Amino acid sequence: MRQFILFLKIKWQMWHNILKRLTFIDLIKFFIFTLITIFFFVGMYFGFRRIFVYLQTIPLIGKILTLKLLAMIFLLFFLMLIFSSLITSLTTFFFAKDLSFLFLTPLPPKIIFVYKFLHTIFYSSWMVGITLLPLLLAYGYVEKLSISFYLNILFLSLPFFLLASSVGIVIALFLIYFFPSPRLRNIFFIFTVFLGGIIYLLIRLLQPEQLANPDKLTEVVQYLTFIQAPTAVYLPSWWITGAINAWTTANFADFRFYFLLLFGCGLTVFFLVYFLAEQIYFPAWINLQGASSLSCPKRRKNLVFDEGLLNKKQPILVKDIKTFFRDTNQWVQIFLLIPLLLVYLFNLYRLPLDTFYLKNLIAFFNIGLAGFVVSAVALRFAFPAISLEGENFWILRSAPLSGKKIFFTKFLFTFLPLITFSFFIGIFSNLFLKVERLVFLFSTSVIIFFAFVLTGLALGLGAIYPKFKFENIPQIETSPGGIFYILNALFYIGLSLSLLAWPMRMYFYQKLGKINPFNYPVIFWVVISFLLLSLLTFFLPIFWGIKKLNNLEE
Amino acid sequence: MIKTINLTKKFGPLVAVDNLNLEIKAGEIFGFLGPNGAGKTTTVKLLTGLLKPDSGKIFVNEYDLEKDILKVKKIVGFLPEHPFLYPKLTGKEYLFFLANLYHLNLSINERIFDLLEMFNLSDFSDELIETYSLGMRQKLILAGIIMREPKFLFLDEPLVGLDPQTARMVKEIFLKFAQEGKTIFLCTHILEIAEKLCQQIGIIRQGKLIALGTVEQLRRQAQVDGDLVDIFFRLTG
Repeated sequence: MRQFILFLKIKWQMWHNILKRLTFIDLIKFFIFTLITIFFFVGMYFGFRRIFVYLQTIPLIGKILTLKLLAMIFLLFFLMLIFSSLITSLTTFFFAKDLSFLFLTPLPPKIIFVYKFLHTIFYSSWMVGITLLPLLLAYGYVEKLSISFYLNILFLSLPFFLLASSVGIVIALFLIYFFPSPRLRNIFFIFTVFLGGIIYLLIRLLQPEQLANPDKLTEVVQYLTFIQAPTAVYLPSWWITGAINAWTTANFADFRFYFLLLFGCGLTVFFLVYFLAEQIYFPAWINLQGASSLSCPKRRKNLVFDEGLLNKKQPILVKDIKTFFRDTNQWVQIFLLIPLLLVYLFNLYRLPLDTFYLKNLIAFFNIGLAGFVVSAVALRFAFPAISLEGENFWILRSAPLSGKKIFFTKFLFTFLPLITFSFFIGIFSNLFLKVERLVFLFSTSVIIFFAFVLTGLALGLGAIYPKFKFENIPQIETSPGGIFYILNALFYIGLSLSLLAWPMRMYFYQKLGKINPFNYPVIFWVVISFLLLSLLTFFLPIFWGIKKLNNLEE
Repeated sequence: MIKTINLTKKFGPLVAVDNLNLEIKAGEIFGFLGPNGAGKTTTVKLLTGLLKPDSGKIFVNEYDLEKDILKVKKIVGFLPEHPFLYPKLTGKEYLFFLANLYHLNLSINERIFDLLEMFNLSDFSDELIETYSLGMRQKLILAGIIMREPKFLFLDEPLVGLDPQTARMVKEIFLKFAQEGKTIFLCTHILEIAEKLCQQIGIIRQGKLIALGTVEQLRRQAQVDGDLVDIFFRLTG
């Protein structure tokens, strides 16, 4: 216990040291980050409130629908937490840099386990926690609940987080214990991600939006039975939903039941995991140290990449392609991207767009949405491109290469896949929306153009704000530079849409029969403004990024 | 005493350590030499419990490493080749953290300040470790190990990054340790250091111990008249 408290003290000391040494620039970054968090927090609160208020207006079944929605949200949280804790625990329990040091000390492995256990719960749960708060506030506001509701449910969320994280942690422990070999583990990891993507796609294809559309279900009784049935009654997601419902209906006996159930199970699971960890955590870690890729078959020579012209002319590009496909953590993300893209297209396909106006209006907004999707993909693949050199960046810096050469090689590596992605999203989204040819061409071209500009923006800002010391890629994406990039990307897309709305509106008027709707001077200035905005968004970060690369010091 | 009996470690088809038999007495500085990839670091990791052997036994101070690993860790200090330090702690905080972790007694406060002074780290003791140079980090780790006064020291390239002044001081500390009856297991590529400090030297190649003894014994085995560098090159080919 004493040693464990020592760890907490050290963690506090490290944070205290960081806070004590914050510069003015750090404070600005922190302020911006806090503003963004508050912005999203407030946005989510009003979003949830809007939904709960709407559900309240549905006669007879409004409250049941609210309960069902809460159950589905908590189920989603539960599944997300399991996945998040699985990914996090692989790092915290097995690949963190301090583990060699910790296992050298006379600390019992179980103490190290508990320390890492809490670490994992915190890092895998904080984002869900931030989302949970506006949800609870919105619900409490609509149901007019007192402050004790929030305190009790927030307290109840602790065993909820613990239970979900424990599942992920146990999976990680078994994974490493039984598959210490990196190759086997990668296969398992790829399979899990692929399966997760398929499940996500299937859930969407099941069309849960029919919940709000009773016309789709032929029998009223069938419908009521469906929505009244608890969602995953044996999972903690239902227990916390049940607790919320019990409090709302002042059924404190039921509340106490769910309270005891959550805490009882939480404690039991903790002790089970603790006992399991005592048996297998240290052996798993030791096995991992011994596991090696030496048993892998020798890599065959690839004519294109090893001996071809490409390797001679663009060695950095070849190196980036090779390392991308050899690092499972990198390319497996494509498995996550494909279901996301398919769900996005399916959502468009399912939209009830019966009129010309609606169809083309959505097509216009689709430009913005697709742009947002492309900016998120650029954040994942383009923004970290420079940072991923990591502590090996000195190799490129000490080579006879200019910052410009390094930069444009990275641009070539990231631009082509992003353009391809935006091409598919543009073509297929407009096909599913069944828009007219002119709108089709306009929308697709703008989406592809966005991809080009956003690649430059992401790469440029990634070079201006590199993060060479990282343990995983999300740390680069969620750095102040990454957040700054996303803000700029959203600003660029928003401003572009505001400009392009002018000619679009003229087109609508023309279709609705207005005579001479086109104001060509306005169109001219819109095009010039859009091009100028895009050029600035593209070239300025590239210019400053190259300058930063040329002046980078070790 | 450190003793290994038929110690073996494999990584897939590669035998990194092959039937290693060693016996190092108390108060001895033992030099463990070999070319790159010979199995030196693997051996050190086996002896400190960071790797599990595939077969064989390890005894440290009569404790069986497999059964009494925590007891062994209390009396052992290890300086790895690429040591980890918490970047967001200051040098002083790191030493105090270690003192608490190893339950060192209250008089350790003064000892910490003395060690910081000895290693010329006093002026930087309130700076974050992430700002330290490689040599400063190495000094801090050594200070942390010496502070605990372990009975056994396992050192993997301990003089890397140290300035000549500190290197000399550290060598004197090692000799003093040995005189106090403590055992040092030293891996190094700097053969001159091994020749000056070590009473016994073991040379490993491709996982096998190919030579063991004093410098004089190795000279006879290698059939050369020169120094340890010549002996090493003759024995390792």
